[in-house]
Amino acid sequence: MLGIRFDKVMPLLTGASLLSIWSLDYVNLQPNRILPGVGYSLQDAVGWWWMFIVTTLLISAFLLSFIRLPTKRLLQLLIVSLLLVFMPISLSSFASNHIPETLTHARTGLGAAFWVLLFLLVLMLIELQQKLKLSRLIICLISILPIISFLFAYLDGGLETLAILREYNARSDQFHQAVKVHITLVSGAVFTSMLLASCLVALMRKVEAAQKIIFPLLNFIQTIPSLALFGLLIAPLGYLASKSEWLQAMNVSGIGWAPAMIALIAYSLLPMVRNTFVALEEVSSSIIEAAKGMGMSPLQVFIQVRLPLAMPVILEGIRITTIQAIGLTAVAALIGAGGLGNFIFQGLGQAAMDMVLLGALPILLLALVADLLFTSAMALFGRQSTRSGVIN
Amino acid sequence: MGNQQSIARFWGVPLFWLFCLVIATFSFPYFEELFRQVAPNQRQVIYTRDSFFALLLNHLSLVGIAAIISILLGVSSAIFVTRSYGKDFLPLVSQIASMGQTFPPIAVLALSVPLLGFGALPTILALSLYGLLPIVRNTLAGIQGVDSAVIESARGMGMSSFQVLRQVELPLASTVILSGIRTSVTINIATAAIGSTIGASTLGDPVISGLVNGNTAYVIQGAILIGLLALSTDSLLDRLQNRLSTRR
Amino acid sequence: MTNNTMIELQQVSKLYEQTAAVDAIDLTINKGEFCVLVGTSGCGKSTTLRMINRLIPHSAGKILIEDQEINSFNEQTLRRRIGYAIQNTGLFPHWSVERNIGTVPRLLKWPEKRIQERVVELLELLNLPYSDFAHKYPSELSGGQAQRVGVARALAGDPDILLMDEPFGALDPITRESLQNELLRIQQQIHKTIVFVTHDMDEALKLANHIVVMDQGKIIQQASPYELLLNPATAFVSQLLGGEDRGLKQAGLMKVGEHMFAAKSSNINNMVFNSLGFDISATEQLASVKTHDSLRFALSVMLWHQCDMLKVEEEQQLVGYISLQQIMQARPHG
Repeated sequence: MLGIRFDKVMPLLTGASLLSIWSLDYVNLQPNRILPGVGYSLQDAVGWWWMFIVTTLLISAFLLSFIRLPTKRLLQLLIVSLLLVFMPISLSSFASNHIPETLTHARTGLGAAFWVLLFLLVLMLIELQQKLKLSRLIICLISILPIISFLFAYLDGGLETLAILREYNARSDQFHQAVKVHITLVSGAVFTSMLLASCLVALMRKVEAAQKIIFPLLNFIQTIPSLALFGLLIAPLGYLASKSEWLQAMNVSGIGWAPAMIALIAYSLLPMVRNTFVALEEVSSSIIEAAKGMGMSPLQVFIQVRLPLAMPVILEGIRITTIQAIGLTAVAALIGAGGLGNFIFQGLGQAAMDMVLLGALPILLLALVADLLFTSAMALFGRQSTRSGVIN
Repeated sequence: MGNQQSIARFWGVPLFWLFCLVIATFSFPYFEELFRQVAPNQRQVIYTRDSFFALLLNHLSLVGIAAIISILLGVSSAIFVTRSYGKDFLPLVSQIASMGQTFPPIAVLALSVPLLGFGALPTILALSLYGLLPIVRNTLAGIQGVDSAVIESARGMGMSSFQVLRQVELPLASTVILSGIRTSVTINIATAAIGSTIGASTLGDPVISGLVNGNTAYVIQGAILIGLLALSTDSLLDRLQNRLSTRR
Repeated sequence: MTNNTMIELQQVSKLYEQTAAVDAIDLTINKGEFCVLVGTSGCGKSTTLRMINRLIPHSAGKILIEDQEINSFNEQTLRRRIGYAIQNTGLFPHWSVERNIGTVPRLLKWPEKRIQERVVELLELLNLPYSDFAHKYPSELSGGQAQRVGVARALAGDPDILLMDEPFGALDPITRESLQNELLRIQQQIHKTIVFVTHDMDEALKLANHIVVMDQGKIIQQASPYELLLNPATAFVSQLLGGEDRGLKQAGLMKVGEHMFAAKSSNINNMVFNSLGFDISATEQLASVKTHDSLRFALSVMLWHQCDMLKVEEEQQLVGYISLQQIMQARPHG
């Protein structure tokens, strides 16, 4: 007989975490923006006492995997949450131990061990959520904990040497402006394409021939890479703007918000139209027949039956569109549309990695938040809906 | 001969785009006057730092290498987590594959620079990492979508696990897998163009350089080639997918 | 054990987390036997079947095929020797009918020519014309056709044993009946050892010569169809048999030909008729049945025509008579 099988995932993840904190640099310290940094391991950074606690926690999580205990996964979840809470604190502890007050331009960069540990902890969180069959809400609540501890450490002043925050403090106005522009562009594009998509879908449901034109056209646009589409819009828009004072008055030109908006809307239409159309078409005909049979008018059938049943898939379309638009808007910074992409491309141009992070991390966060909002809305609308969505 | 006609019609669209791509790659210098109309103030209107053909080759090899890595890694990891010895990893992997697609490709590309530095290699790594996700997800969906009665009868007739995988599961999942590959490659062609900004030499170069110097002619040349490359690849994969699915 | 035994289960159990899906059963299936495992869902009949080709490993006991413990074989070699057909056919949707049927021969590395011949032979056996069906894909077949292909595929490697798990369960009653008849006809020709799982007692009575009734992982009774009808061992078995309906079921197992009195010269007929108190002059108007119709069918014809005597005809020729009294007195042979 074989022995009892144990789940291999948690041991692997915890083992890799141990390996990373014992072998890689956790943070590095630059005296100022130009001088090269010095790496510190976790033990150097926070002292052997913390190192002992973190190692013990990880080893416990490792060993728990091999014990037949009904609550072992909950205990592991507790350990993972504690470690996540610990991570911002560790940075502030590093700053207070190693950075003298005199070094006013010192910057703390995050090292490989930090990123690897964070990544592995997030994987453990997902793994435990899946195996414990927890709802995403609980995971969101747990992920608030490290954010709270981060805020505490930040307000306490312990994180001000963090490179990305130095970068933020140096250009916080610009940053807020960029976030605003980014969100405005995305929501403007999503909202406009929702309206346009409704019209197109209405047309397609009335005139069957319209499907044969609209779908291939939207597919065609979707296939063209963003950089190409942005680039191709410059010349014609520039030409139009030079001919029309009205357009100039609206600040339209070959570069800037106008080509960005047009391209964003064009890209948003395909997922929006496809999901809305498919969702409305695929409501089971027997349900529609039953509604008609009970004497509902066509409008009542649409509003009370067809639309609510189609809602989860329509929302999935809006979710895909929004996430796609968040990424594409970043690219639009190249044609002068502004937004968070500016930091990325400026940072890349100056080889200033902290600035790249200042652009890329918020974009990632925006996408995650948008995803969360829409999946929650979808869960509210149709408990039977899955997040599988439509795959081309 | 009727057969030949239908083959021509079947492959017509990708052949058309491929033809346009080849023509465009070599003929821009002959349209100098036209481009001068677009950018009247520029001294030079044809991008010459690298030949378009070299850029195209470079772009293709970046995407190609990344695609090979993601296909090998993606398909084999999806196979691994659907076998009995890897099933512990299935929930985690399928969750990552579906959540990972929430990350915008440009953010992944940008984040690869602090970790890996500038150049072609980080671009390839970022592309293959991001391109992995749709392939893993679709391979999983494809394998899990195979009717369990089919698997059971395959085993019941005495196929080994490898024969079941090779002769039954993979062929039945192939259309879905190919559709994942198509998504992955389409995204990567677009992302590789942006890879110009992190120092990979691709068809994005003329566009970026045109944007920086305000030379619209460069931008158009790069954009047209990128667009044509995407259209030819996508339509080619579409036809392949079509052939696979009409075989049954 | 005699040489006549094909499959033998000795104290075989299957445990799932300490609960027994199959609980220490003993079962001997002889060569050429049509053995049907019957019971309600969850009784362990399918598990038992799948333990025979090791799709499910048995937890305890011994399963022997021709005196050899099945665990001593290579798993795949064992399965290639045993035909297997299931309810949802499990046909490979990406392969043509021809390729599907050739699966096991190909696994056994038969030469291509022999595979081809085998496919032709099997399609013919199952009444599927080669030219019409060989190149079709499973999605182009009706349910009954797909199941025929499933049976052909199970027979392709010329296995000694055929395992069938509710193969006709998803078919409509008419198709199901015709496939049952087909299977009986084929079995007449090929004499395989068949183990067949069903929850339908009528199907079991019709097909089997050895019925095994299972409940909660145990064998409740095993017997020939007649014995089972005559002496159900428990209330559960007689309930499965349909309670008082089983008289009709029994009549359904007996053929008119075995219980009629054959038509002789008219004198003798007259004598018999008189002894039965019957008027010979009325025979011309009698309704007719055929020799291989069941007594149940004959009874139904009598009820319909409100008479107690029927002619038995074969190809328009009178071959005998059957009366209500004979049906009432009929007992199964053997």
